[in-house]
Amino acid sequence: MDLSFPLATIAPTLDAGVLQVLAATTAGCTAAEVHRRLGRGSDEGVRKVLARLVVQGVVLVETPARYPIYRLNREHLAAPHIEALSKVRGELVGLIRSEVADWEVEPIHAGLFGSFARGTADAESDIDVLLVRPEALVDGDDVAWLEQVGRLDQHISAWTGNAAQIIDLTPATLSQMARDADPLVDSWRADDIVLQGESILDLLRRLQ
Amino acid sequence: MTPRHSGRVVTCTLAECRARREQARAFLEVAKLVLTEDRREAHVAAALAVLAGIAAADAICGFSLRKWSRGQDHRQAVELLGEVALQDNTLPTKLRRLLAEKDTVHYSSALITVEKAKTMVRQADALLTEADTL
Repeated sequence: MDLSFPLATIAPTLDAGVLQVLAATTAGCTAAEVHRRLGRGSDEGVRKVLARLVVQGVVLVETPARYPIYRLNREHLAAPHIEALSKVRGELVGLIRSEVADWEVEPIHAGLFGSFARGTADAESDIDVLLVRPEALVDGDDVAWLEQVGRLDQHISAWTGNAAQIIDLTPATLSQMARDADPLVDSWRADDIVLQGESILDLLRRLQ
Repeated sequence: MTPRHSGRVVTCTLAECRARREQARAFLEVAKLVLTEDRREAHVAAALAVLAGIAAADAICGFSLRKWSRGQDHRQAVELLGEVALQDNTLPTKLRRLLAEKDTVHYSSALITVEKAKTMVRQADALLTEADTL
């Protein structure tokens, strides 16, 4: 699933992006503004998509001045479904967050990073998850930890069709990676979306 | 090259939106940390809540519209937030109320009440909650 443009699960890619841009705002946009916010496709392609969606009635067009203004027709029967699909990214973050919040063995940190966190994921992208385990897992807790991580892996794949790439670290390993200036640590510092526990910046400061 | 500025609204990148959201989170975390029944500390929390609210509103506008408001025109910031298809439709009002207290908490010698500070922290929290869904 393309989690940057979830509507692409049911619509051609450019149509999905155009609908996503219009669903994000209650205001009208010119075709050029839709294209700018979308950041992909051609200007001509965006105009063709808008014309097609106007024919379907799901997009309204008016020309108050020189350029036509387009807006999502929120009274259209399809509009609530379009809006719901456009919010799937936030829903996924919420689902993962509530699953991790229910874990028997709590992580010191759980977060999302990589292309999904940056909002640039596509249909082929993994969902990157960073987990930092508690300091010392006693016997039995280790099994419970691995079971809950395995369940999360399966759920992410079932919810999205994308593979989960889970990095499961001890605090000591995280600390060592930071000392070694591992590029992954930089990407965690820059992109991490906190799901549970301390922020990665606080954790790295504490482990120094 | 396309001009980046259009009046007092500027375009932004996803990376900038994420950074702005993290700033909002940091402001709010510290605001909650210092928010006590002490009026002096509550005033500091309220000042941070305003900064958190503005940063969170910027992030919401940036993620949804790829642009955010710049400058001192508070009404424009509220209007821009009103252009976003929000899950919580009370957010433009919450931002407007936060901004209405900006001068008092940042520049006035008068301390704000503890109750008012608590309300402002809640308002900023609601803005960040919305930003976190994007």
